Amino acid sequence: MPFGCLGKILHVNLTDATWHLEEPSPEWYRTYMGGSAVGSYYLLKYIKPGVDPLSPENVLVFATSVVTGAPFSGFNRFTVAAKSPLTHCFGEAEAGGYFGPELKFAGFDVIVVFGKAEKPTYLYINDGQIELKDATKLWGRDNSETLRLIAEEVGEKRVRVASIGPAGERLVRIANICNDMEHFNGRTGMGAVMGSKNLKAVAVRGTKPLEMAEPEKVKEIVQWHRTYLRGHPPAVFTSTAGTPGVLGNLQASGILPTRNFSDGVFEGAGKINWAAYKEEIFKSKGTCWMCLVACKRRVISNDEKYPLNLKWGGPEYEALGGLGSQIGNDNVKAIARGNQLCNLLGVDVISVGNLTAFVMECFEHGILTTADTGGREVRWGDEDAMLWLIEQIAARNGIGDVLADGVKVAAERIGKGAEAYAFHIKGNDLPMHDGRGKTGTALGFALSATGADHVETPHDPMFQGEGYKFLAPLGLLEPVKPLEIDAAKVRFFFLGQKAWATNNLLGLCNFASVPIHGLTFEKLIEIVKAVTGWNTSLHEVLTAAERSLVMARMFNIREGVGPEEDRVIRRWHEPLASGPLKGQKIDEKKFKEAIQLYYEMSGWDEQGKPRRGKLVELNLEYLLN
Amino acid sequence: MEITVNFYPSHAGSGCELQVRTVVLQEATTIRDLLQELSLKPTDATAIFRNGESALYQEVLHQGDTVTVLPFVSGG
Repeated sequence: MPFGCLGKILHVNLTDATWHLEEPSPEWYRTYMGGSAVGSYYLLKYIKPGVDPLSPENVLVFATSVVTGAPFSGFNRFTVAAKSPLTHCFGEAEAGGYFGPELKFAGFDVIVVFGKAEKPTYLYINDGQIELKDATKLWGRDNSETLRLIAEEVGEKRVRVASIGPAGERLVRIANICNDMEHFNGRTGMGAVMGSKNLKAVAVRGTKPLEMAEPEKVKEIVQWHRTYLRGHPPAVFTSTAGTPGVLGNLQASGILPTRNFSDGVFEGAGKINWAAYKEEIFKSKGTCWMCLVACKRRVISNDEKYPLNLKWGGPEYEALGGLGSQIGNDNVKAIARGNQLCNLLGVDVISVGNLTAFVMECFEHGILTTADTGGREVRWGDEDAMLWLIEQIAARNGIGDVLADGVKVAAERIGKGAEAYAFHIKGNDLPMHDGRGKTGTALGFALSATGADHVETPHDPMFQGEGYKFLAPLGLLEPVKPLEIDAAKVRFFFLGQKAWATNNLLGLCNFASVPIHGLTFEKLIEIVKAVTGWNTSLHEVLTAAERSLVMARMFNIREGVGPEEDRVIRRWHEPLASGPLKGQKIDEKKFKEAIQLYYEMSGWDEQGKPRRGKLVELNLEYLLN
Repeated sequence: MEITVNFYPSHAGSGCELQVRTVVLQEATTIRDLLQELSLKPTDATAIFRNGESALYQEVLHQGDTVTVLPFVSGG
């Protein structure tokens, strides 16, 4: 067995409350490595095409990697994967925090969950001991209460809990999984899959340190990494301002998603940027396991209308955009309150922001009226309507029940032309990035197996000028032009995507890893070698990253997802309304050509299906049948 | 010593042209000192290259160096 992992994968069948261990070969670990590839492996192995994602036949995977829990900043993320109830495609979401390393210290690299429990249940793993415990008294509780009650019941203050809130229990298809109230497997509705299985939480406690091949070498690189992060400007930026610091730069660039992507500048940006945030609500930094960057923000307020609890998480950039500019709201306290409601109830804050924007635009066009909302006006900039909608969605009340299945299904149900304002890719609404100002990111959104996903793709502006040198070790040897959509852009995306896929494969945080924020490729490979003992290379790791992308693609092809789904939203083919990029749009014909070029570079056919040679190259020939 | 600095106006990311400025500094000045001289905070300067290579704040500058300051327009 290689170092860095336990060699143990726990299979739990909730239907008959049994479990068994799988001990894959060292070659299996070296092939799949972790995270997204391990998730895809079990989904392809056990899920029959066409199954209802909310049926017991869906399979839910919690996956760390061969380096998760090594004592480096950013080596703490874990993947949750299942067939998505939101997109009916490959579903996956990553989260940081402490849960991933703790699972490994408790004795397991991966948990694969099958079936459905007869009654509300939670899985408790304590240093290798496994229990399925009654969660009846937890059902209906929010994530904060669930965390507290589980810690009390198992008598372990340091237990790490990945739980769902009431939204997941009610099968809200944008429900997330929460750990420690500030880390979330947010996207693609993984919380609803847990709810469908009557699985309220997975709680882990572990005390066994990770065995690594070269502990002295690991210590040496940890010291290097800590010094590097303290002086490396992107890491210092993220540590100083967190992700909220991005908002001002996006506004200055004219690509801050505003009012359902109808504009790229928001007149209220100055009231919701990092300076305003710091002044109004910021209390302290939070972090993930062993991470020096500490990008998390903790907030507090005694405001009567928008009270904030220090322990319930502060809004990150995605929440500031989604509950702020995207809905025309410039009240930072209300954004933070909305974010905490999402955290408590267990819904993805990005999707909630987009759904709110969708409803507001439908009101604007008379498609929805107060007759649809029980008398409530939902207009641009109305922060209280946003807070009201969060509760309606999580409870599946009234209009909330229509929205709880995601923006695509909601628009189909509403009809009357609502589809024109429902922006999604493969059924997944979009993170807070406008592809008109970064066309490489637009390619990433179009080609992601999970639908639009901001942690799977490079963001062009960081690679302008000399910035391209961050990706030079992968072969990028020219500055990136954010607005162009040509062959050079496809080359940039093709290369850069592998770096982001590497982080999702190995459970690394983009804010402490390659290519920009906290590691060089050379050091990353040194770390993988020192932790696992493998005589590995950048080539092998990037190949594994590509394997993870192709496996997710193959899952979608098996589900009948075709190349027509590799697209961006209508609005990005229309000109930006104002700001520094006024008039900028993505040429639809050029974009389609770029997608075809990507297929060709990837060894995929014209329909976007990986060719036989590519599958054989990646040791995936078993997927040919 | 003279240092050439390339930077984006208002730290805007997309579609803007780099601006170039020459700064005269004392010997043994670090990149951190240079940013202070330019009134740039850590939240303004988000990726820095010195003579084409990614640079750290504590690096000492030399006569004729070229420093490029990039904005952070990435995402989580």
